[in-house]
Amino acid sequence: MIANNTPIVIIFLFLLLVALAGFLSKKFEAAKFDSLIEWSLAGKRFGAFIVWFLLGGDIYTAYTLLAVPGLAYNSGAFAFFAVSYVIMEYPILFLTIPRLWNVSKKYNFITAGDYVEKVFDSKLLGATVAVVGIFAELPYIGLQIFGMRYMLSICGLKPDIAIVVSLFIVIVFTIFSGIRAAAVTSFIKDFFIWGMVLFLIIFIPIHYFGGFTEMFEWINKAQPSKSLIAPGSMITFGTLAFGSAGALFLYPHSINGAYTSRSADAIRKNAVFMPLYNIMLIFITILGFAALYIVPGIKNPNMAIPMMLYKTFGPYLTAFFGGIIILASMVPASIMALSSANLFTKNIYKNIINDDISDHSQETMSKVAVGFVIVLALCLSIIINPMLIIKLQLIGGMIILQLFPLIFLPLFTNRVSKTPALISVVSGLFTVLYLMRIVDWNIIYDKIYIGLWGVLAEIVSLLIFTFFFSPLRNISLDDYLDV
Amino acid sequence: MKTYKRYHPVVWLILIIPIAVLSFGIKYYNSNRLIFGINAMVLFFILMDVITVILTYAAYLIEKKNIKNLKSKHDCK
Repeated sequence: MIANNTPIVIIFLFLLLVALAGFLSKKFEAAKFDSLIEWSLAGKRFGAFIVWFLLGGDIYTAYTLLAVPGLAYNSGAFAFFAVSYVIMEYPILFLTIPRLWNVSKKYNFITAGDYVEKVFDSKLLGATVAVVGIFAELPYIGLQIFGMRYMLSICGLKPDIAIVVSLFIVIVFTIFSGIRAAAVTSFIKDFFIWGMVLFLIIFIPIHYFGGFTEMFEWINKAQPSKSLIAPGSMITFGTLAFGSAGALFLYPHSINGAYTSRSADAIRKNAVFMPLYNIMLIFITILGFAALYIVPGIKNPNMAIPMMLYKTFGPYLTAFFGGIIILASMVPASIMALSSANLFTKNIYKNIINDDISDHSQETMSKVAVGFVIVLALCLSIIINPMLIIKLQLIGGMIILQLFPLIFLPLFTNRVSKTPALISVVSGLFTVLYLMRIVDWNIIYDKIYIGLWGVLAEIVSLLIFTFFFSPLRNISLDDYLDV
Repeated sequence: MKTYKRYHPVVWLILIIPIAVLSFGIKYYNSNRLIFGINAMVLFFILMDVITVILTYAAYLIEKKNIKNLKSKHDCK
């Protein structure tokens, strides 16, 4: 779209900033010794403040910044389901993850798979968590790459070169500094993202409409069907939001982010204050409605925000905003790759292939796996078209929700044991895949979010089989407490 | 001294409120009316963010007290 080199320089200055921060971060809360737990969880020494930024980096990704307003542009108020589910997820975070943190601290767990293996005394279930987790993460990283691609294409750059350079930086700084790189870069990311969103939410309505009221009046008048959730979609809205909220803290990258905390209390403080971060998501969604007025008739709704930025600010500021959005894709890509790599090393390679692997070799293997995961996600994003990646990510979300009886349920009861849990997860996964096949591989709901039908199948299986087996004994309820 | 190994019932109750309101109250907040010049649904979500902070903070205080009780019980043993 633009010919001169200034946007390229702006984007590469951003990449340089991230690369520098990523490498220097090795000294941040410096490791006392080299080990997998130091590299991937910073020795579980991050306080509530750092974890707030890290979780923000995890949850509010580049794809969120483009896809949620894109959904508002395409489907109107239904896009608020994303706002709704993120609010719901923080009470779930409060109830579950501090207990998981306590037990992980006590037994030195690094992944959710470690916990599942110990609590059910089953390497198979640990490996199941790993396989499902990696399957769900790969398209998620792929979507971050699409986020980069959308922004770069509007800046007039050849996306492939810039994406490869960005991902190379992510691989190198993650291998070099581990989770510390993601933590430090998420500070920078948040500084720019908050600045950008606050500027846009004030500037855009005033510049184009004369104010907020005028903007909302225009939406009601010009797009009445998009200003409300259609009555027939309310059940879908509610179940999709509830199911998505249940799934978010079952993703390996979310658990990995929370595991870096120095205490369960730091996680609880985050559950209290993270909803404030969510106000940004509301602003971003509103920008999707504004784009309907500014750049009407776009075929790919994910391009609504990039096109709006370009039309409003021209090439240079768009490149600047593009740099911020690319930054917002690098932080989650780093954490997602790192958590997938740990799942592979700890719960697949160590459990199934080579039980004798040393701690040092585990760290090396995880570092190699980070590169492998990112390259695999890049290949997926090149080979597969965007719609299929989005579909895989949605399937991933439903499948990860089916891990709830393995990860969340034993936090509160020792009544679930190995065989019923396995039957339950298999029935949940089978239900989800079967319903998707019947309904359509393209959609994730048929009135009700399909992931919840899977959870219902899991609950029914547990109720049928649980009482035929003896309760769990490996971890006592006392281990989940702060004392 | 009553302590809980899971959560105090009030913690469960107040944390379920935002989830229940957001999941089941859609027909009440699905509105495009303008309140103070802002879309009612947008205003509702901003309020729900703030209310969730307040409710979760209340749950945090209850849980903190519970942990304190547990610790003192633990120290007495």
